[in-house]
Formats: sequence, structure tokens, C-alpha cells
Amino acid sequence: MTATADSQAQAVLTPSTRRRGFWSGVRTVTRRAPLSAFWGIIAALIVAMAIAAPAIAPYPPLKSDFRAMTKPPTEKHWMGTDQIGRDTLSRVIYGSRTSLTVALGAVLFGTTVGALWGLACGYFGGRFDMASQRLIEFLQSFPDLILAMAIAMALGGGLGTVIVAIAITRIPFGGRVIRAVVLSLKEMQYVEAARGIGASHQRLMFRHILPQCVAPYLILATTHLGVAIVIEASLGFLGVGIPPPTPTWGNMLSDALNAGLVPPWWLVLFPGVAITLTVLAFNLLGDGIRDLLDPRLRGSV
Amino acid sequence: MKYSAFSITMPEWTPPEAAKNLKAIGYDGVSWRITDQQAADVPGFWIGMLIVLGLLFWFGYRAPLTGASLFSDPRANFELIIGPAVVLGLGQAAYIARMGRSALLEVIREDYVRTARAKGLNGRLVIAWHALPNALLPVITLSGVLMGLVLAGSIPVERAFATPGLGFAMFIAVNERDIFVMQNLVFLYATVFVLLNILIDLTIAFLDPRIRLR
Repeated sequence: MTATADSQAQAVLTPSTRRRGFWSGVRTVTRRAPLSAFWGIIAALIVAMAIAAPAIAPYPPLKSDFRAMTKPPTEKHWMGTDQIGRDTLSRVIYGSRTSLTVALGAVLFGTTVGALWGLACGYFGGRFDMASQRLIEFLQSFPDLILAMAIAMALGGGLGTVIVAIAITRIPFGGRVIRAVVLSLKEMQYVEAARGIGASHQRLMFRHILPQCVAPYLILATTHLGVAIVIEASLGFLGVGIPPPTPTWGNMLSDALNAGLVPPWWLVLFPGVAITLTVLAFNLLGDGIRDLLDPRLRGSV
Repeated sequence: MKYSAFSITMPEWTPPEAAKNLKAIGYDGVSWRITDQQAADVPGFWIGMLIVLGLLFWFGYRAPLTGASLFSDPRANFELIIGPAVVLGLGQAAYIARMGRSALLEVIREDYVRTARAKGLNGRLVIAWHALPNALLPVITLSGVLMGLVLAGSIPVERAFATPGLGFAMFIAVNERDIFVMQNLVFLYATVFVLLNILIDLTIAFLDPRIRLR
């Protein structure tokens, strides 16, 4: 794990010779990695679907149709209906809202806290760093999902608590990687020069070192989006996520299992396909972004 | 809770690992990129649900619903284990294949492999006997990290298969808000995770003479 962090630090330290704009970057990705660009489009479509959910969904996600309960896909309900006649397609569409909110919130929150912590650790070093590293190791000694479960259960269910629970599991990753980057940045000449002319700690950290950490931060955040979505779905599936009436993909799978010994296939298939597609899209998009920002990191994060 | 999830999670490392490594040697290309890299993204519990449903749908088969001990009823025990073991094992296979591939590609460039080739040994033999053991070291290290994936994954996967293991016990404790059982299970899981990682560090030190324990 440290080895990867070090190699990342090395790769990040070489300054890029020219600045590229957003659109030329997009063009480069499209040309060099058409697969990533394709999945990027899928990811954009999923985000658009989440934003425009009320406009796209054929029915309200909580509306029961008592004339069609547990019915397989028909023309009226393209993905069938669940045990109390709610339209699966609408629930899948609305489910993307919760999934994306949780994933984005948790990853931004967790990685940012981790990055700031890592920045402080790397910069100050010494006893603070020692203590922090032990604390991070403590956090890492729990498998992700189990830690998230324990926290979500201790705090009680709800959107906010699920975000916090997943964010806490993301902190060690941000902390480790950014710390390694900062450790090697700290020794660079321009930082030394800034210190020489009497810059304060604050100025050194935020004006001189932090901007160099943006690339690894972005890479980390995008690669962890997929993981966060899977953890959210698992929490919902286990019944510690966002409480039931809210449509989330994990809750839908859980409801399908609760229906009886033999869950109807359409209730199992469609939410799972939604999870898989979303995770795939974000992971491959993340690969593309990583290749764009740091070609040398290919396959390392 | 007669029966623990860890017996489920142990046996599945080696076969996919070996198979994927051989695959990396032979035909490393498009198939690798599509199948292996993305297998990790599919949530295991969903695959589990699909497997249970598919078996029931097409073959009318369902694993036994009650727990069975390995010693009194090995057959029922195997039927219980095999589903979660396959799903959790394949979930790791993608990471192991990725790691094994890059490790092997690194080792193949070493001098001693070239020497073995120059001696006139068969290409497959060189890889299997000379390169593979060294390439497996990072894979073993990685499997420690992956244990976390398996341990955590066992909870939803065991729920999907309704396997009466530790993961299922955890699920029940969570749903009944049984904080006490939950606390202990979390502690147990974390302990096993840490102990396995220590064990793996010791294994590495044993296998690799360059690493010394102090």
C-alpha cells in the first residue's frame, strides 16, 4: 500500500509542461480511450437520470397500483411491480438519486477530510504524524462494510448517517495517499524557497503544497465513487441504510428477498443491473480521468 | 450459529488465482481487459441472488435451509458453502488476476528467467517453475487486503444465499437492533482480519529470505 502511495507521489511530483483545457482534455480521452469516453457518457446519462427523475419516471415511486401487484413486466409497467404494486422502473429511476447523493457526498466528505488530515500529517510530521498514523491504521483494521455498518447502526438510519458512515471508511485512503505526496513535496526546492522568505505554515500548506495535491485527490475521489455505491447498496440490502419507503437499489433488493423464499425475478434483476451499470460507468470513467491526469499511474490506484 | 463463515472463505484462493495467472501468460489481451477488470465491480450479493434464483428456476434446486456441520453431514455442508464461496472467491479473482499479471510481467523480465530460457527449458516450464513462485509473493500480500473484502462481503452474500454463517448472524443482529451481538461480531471480524494479516506477513517473511522480521 505504501509502495503505491510512493509511486503516486513520484508521478505527481513531475510538473506538467503545459496546461490543457477541459475540452481538449475531453478530446484527448475520446481519442486515446474510446472505451472510457463511452462509459463517461453512460455515467453522464445516469447523473442526468437522477436529476430529471420526476420528469422521466412514469409513476411516482411510492404510488401503489393495487390492480397490479407482483406482476411481471408488462406494457404498463416496463419492469413489473413489487408486492404492493409500486412500479419498479420508477423506483429504479428514483433509486439513482439516493445512490448518487450518498456516493458523491460520502466520497467528497471522506476524501476531503482524509486529504486535509494527510496534509497536516505530512507537513508537521513528528509526534502528531505518529499518532495520526496509528489512528488511521485503527480505522483500516475494520473491513469497509463492517465499519460502515457499525457506524450507521450506532447513529441510526437516514441519509445523513449513511453518508457519514461511508465517508469515515474513505478517510484512511485519502489520508495515506495525500500524506505520501506531501512528504515528498515538502522537500522540494520551491517549498524550501518559500520557507526561506518567511512564509507561514498556513501559507506553505495551502498556497504551495495543497495545489499539487489536486490530481491525486481527484483520482482518489473518482475511483472511490464505485466502492461507495456498492457499500450504500449493501447497507440498504442489510437493512441499516436509508429506511424503507425511500426507493434505493439496496432496499429494493432487500424487499425482494423479504417477499418470500422465491423472489420474483424482475425485482431482483433490474435494481442489480442498475447498480452494476452505475459502478462500472464510474469506475471506467475514473480510469479515464486517471490516465488523463497521470498516465504513469495506469493500473496502480 | 453452528458454523462459521471463515471455513467458507478460506478454500477459494488458489484455483482462480492459478488459473488467472496462466491465463495472463497465454492470451493476455482483449478478453483480459473486459472480463477480469470489471468482474470486481459487480456486487456479490446480487450475483448470489441471481444464482439462487437461476438454480431454482431452471433446475428446481435449492441449498438446504438449515445449518449442517462439516462432520455430521458433509454433503449438506458443502451445498451450503459452495454458493457463497464461489461468489466471494470470484469477487477476489479480478484483483488477484490484476496483481498476478503485473507481478508476473515484472518477473519475466528478470535475468534469471532469461538464463532459464537460454538453458533451453520449455517456455511453459520456465514460467511455472521459475517465474510463478516469485510472482506470487505480491499476490499473497494482496490477499491479506482482500480478506477484508471477503469478510465484509460475507455479510450480504450470506444473506443472499441464506447461509447460516457468521455473516447471517450479523445480519440478524443488525435487523433486530441487537447491539450487544453486533458489537461482538464486529470485534470478532476485525480481530480475524488483523490476525490473518499478521499471518500473511509471517508467511511472506518465511517465503522471501530478503525480508527479515525484527
